[in-house]
Formats: sequence, structure tokens, C-alpha cells
Amino acid sequence: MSLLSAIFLLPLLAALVVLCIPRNYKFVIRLVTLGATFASMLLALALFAKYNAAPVENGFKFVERHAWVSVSALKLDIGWHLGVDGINLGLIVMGAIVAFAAACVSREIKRLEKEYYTLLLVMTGGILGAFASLNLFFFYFFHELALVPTFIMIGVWGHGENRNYATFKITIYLSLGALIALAGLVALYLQSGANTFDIVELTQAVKARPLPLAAQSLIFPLLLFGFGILVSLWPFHTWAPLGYGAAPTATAMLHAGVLKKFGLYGLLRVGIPLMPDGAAAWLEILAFLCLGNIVYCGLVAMRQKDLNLLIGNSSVAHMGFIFLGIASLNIVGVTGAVVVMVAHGFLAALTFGLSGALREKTGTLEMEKLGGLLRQIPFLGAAVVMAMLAGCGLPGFANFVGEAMVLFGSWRVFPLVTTLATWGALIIGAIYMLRAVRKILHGPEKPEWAALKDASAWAKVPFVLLLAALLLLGVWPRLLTDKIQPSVAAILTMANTRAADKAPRAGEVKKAAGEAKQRAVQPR
Amino acid sequence: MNASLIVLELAVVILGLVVLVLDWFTPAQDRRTLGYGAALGVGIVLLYSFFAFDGRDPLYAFGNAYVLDGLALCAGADHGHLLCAREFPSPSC
Repeated sequence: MSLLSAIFLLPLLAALVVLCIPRNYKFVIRLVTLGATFASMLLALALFAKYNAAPVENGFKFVERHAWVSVSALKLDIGWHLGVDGINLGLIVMGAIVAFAAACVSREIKRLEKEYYTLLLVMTGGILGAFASLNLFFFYFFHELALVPTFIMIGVWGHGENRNYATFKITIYLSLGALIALAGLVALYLQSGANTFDIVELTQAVKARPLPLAAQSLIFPLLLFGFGILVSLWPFHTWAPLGYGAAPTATAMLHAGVLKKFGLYGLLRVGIPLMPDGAAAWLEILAFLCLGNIVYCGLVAMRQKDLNLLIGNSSVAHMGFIFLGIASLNIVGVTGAVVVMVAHGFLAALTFGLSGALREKTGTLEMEKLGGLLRQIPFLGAAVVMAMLAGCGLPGFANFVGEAMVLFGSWRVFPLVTTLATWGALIIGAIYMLRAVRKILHGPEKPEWAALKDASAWAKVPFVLLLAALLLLGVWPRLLTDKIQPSVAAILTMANTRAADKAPRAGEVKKAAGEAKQRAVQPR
Repeated sequence: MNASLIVLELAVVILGLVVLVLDWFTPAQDRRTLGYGAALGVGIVLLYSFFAFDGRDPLYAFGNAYVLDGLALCAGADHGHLLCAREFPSPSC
């Protein structure tokens, strides 16, 4: 088993082990889960350390290939193909760290632990497998493997009166999104004529024989809106705050932090490089839609009284920056988008983890009921302040680097959208984040919270880990950007082929203009 | 690629997206009306399928992987009927 396979097969194997453990051995079940996610995290960090940005054929390293199904009569070829480049490397490492943090905070689960931890491990394996797969079949299969436990976990271990409604809503939205994306992927497979689901081979085939414009114009919007619903693209975002508000802490951490990035990754890996002409027609629309995420959802977050709903809306708002970076289609903007994907993964996990800890201690997340908590729980309070500041895009945290790159990248292409997005990020984001800090942590101490105890040493581990990752990538962003840039450049080379094709036309225009000028200066 | 063949599928997908967006604005007490609207939309697509394609000659798209023939239309129509029946149950149900 290769290093890359081990990262996501380990949690899946651990899920099978947990299934075999009697349900009253709760400690062992939790230990197996923690052990598997911890080992997976160490392997992911080893992968990150071993990865270098030196160019290789096809751009992927740690490649593993095995034939699986090949029926020539049906023109069907599905293979096990894994690999990493600068784009999915950060996502895999972030996913593995968030998975371990999610396992750590799962102590809040007090019933049906065996089923819960099995689903958590399946979800972890599915998420990491989706990012590692270079075959469309397994890419989609692993995503679904992670998505189904999400619905079950919200329905069974969720919180609040709206739990059932939230479960139905998230199931309907995400199933529809996944179905539309599936239709787009199948159409891409059929239309390419390459008879393979392999992303690398598909890319080479499309490079040699680009898809007709009519096909791209039909397939790209399917992928854009299918993946867009999965990422909570405005106006299909309403499932996210509600779902995260009702979800168990670990599920919200894993879904908002990691699984939600699947749609963005799919757009970057498949949608834009394989259908550049189809994308060109939609990127401007995407840039304006992302304003809905940044500004509208930011304003909605300002109105929230429940901390989880505030974080959920804030998470949706942050997705707008990633879409804006992708829509800019230049190296600074797209690299920034990938950095925000990684940074937001850590941030979303941190904020949902902290809100879960606050709910466990106080029994409520209504911000009006909280207040004056900083003296009682200084560690958790300080972590909340840091998380909120990271959410505002404060320099020193990874989010600042990503968002700044996105705004620099998009400025040349969409100046109006960038101006409004900057306003949304700096003003609206700061208002709701700092207001939440004031309501939760500052103010007079309330007698009902006098007996509260701060997080234990073990409970601090996930928050320290996530904060350390945010700070490390914030002060040393080249650790990530140097790895991302070559892969983004390769994608943009394919995506900008269309612009290159148009270059002769621009040359012709220039030549014609020169000839006209010459005619004008010639004496009659 | 003959995109006009999948107009029925596209119509249902667009209808679904429109319903999701309308759901955002619709108060909880009016959601049933939204359900009726969705069923009506599917019904219109169903009616359109009778007039747009006769189903006598099979039509192909996506390298012959997609076939629109009488059987496909009949199955699609049945599915549309089931969706409508879910929203407008008969008194005996």
C-alpha cells in the first residue's frame, strides 16, 4: 500500500475494525478512531514533507495505478489512479488534520458511539479518497461515500428543533447538486470520446481534440451549478447555515472544512481545464454570483443571534472568495483561491469545534445568553478571539494570504466585483466577527457561568493544532504557494488556450489598424 | 452533439434549481403551494414531451450512449406522472 493510499484507506479499514468491536467497549472504539485519524494525519504530513515542486510528467507525484474494470465492448475503462499535485496536496493534508481534530472533539457523543465513529471514519476516508483520486469514477464515488454519513449523522446526532428539517434540506440540496454534477461528468466522459474516466488521460485527449463549443456550453454549466450547490454557491446556499447549525460538531467541522471543497476542487481539476470555452462564458456570471456569497451572506451573518448560524453564514461568505479567485483565471487569483480553500478548512473546523465546546459547557449558543466568558474560560475565549480575527482576514493568519491574493488577482479582471468584495470582507466580516466576540466573551461576568471550567489539556489539542496550522501558513505562506503555483500554471495553460487561439485575431486587428493609419497619412 | 434531445432533462434540472431558489423566499406555511407549482412544472414538461418527440425513430446523442425512443419517452412520462401523483394524491390514497 502506497503512502497516498494509506492516508485514506486507514480510516476506512478502521471503520471495519470499529464495526467488529462490541458496542460497550466505548473506550476502545474511540481509541481506534483517534489512532487511525492520527496515523492518517502523520502520513499526510509525511506526504507534504516529501513533496517537492520539481516538474514531472503529467504534473502528478506519488502516482499509484491499478486496472480495475476494462470492458472494451462497452468502451468502459475504470482504473484505480491516485496522485497528488500542488492543488490537492494541501487539501489532503488539511483534511487529515481536520479529521483528527474532529475525532478529538467527538467526546460530546454519548449514544450510539459505535455507529457514530464508524460513520465518522467512513466520512474521513471518503473525503480524503475523493481528493486523492485521479479517476472520475472514484473521485465521485468517494465523495458520495463521505456525503451519505453526513446526512445520517445530522439526522441521528444533530442538535435543535430544526434537526429533521435541516437533514431533509441538506439531503435534497446536496443530492440534487451531486446528481447535476454527475450528469455533467457522464456527459463529459461520453462527449470526449476518450472512453476513459481517467482524469489525466481525459485531459490529454481533450488537449489533442478539444470538445466542441456546443458541448462545452452545455456541460460546463452542469458542472458549475452541480458543484456550486455542493459548495453553497449563492443563491443555492440556504442548506449550509441550517445544516451546520443542526449538525454534530465533528460533522460540521468535516463537511464545512473539507468536504465542501470537493466542488471547488472539481471545478479546478475538471471543469475549467477541460472546458475553457464553456467556462469563459460563465466566469463573469460566477464573479457576480460570488458577490451574493460575500456581501449578502455577510449581511445575513450580521443578523444572526445563534453562534452556529453566524459561523455557517460566514462559512458561506468565505466560499465567495474562492469562487472569485477561480473566476479571475490568473495565477495569482487561482493560487489564492487554493490557499483560501486550505485556510478556510482549518478555520471552519476551528470555529465549529469551538462553538461545539461552548455549547457543551454552557448548553446554549444564543449569543445574548452568553457573555463575560473570557475570564471564566481564558483558553477557549482566546481561541475564539483568534478564530474570529482569522475570519476577518487579519494578517498573520492563512486566510489573509489567500484572500489578499484573490483580491489582487481579481482586481484586473473584475474591478467592480473586487471593490464590493473587499468592502464585504473588511467591513461586514469585521462587524459580525467582532460583534460576536463582544457578545460572547466581553461584558460583565454572568452568575450562571461562574462554575464554568476551561478546556482540559486533551480538549485543547484540536484547537492548538488548527490554530498552529492557520498561523504557520499565515506567516510562511510559501510553504503552500510554492507547491500550488506550478500546478495552477498547468491548469491555466490549458484554460487560456482559448485566449491564445484568439491572439492571431488580436494581431490581425492591430495589423488592420496599422494599415488604416498608414492609409490616413498617405498623400491623396 | 444534439443538445435538443436532452431538453426534457434540462427543463427538469432548471425547474429543480428554480424551486430551490423559490424555497428560499417562501414562508413555511406556503411551501405546499411551492410543491404544487413544482408538480405543475413537471406536468408541463410531461405534456411537452408528447408534442416535441413522436418516439417513432430512435434519436441518439453522446456517441449513441443516449437514446430517445418510445420506451424512453414512456418511462420518462411515467416518472413525471408519479411525481405529480405524489403531490396530488387521489382521495382513495
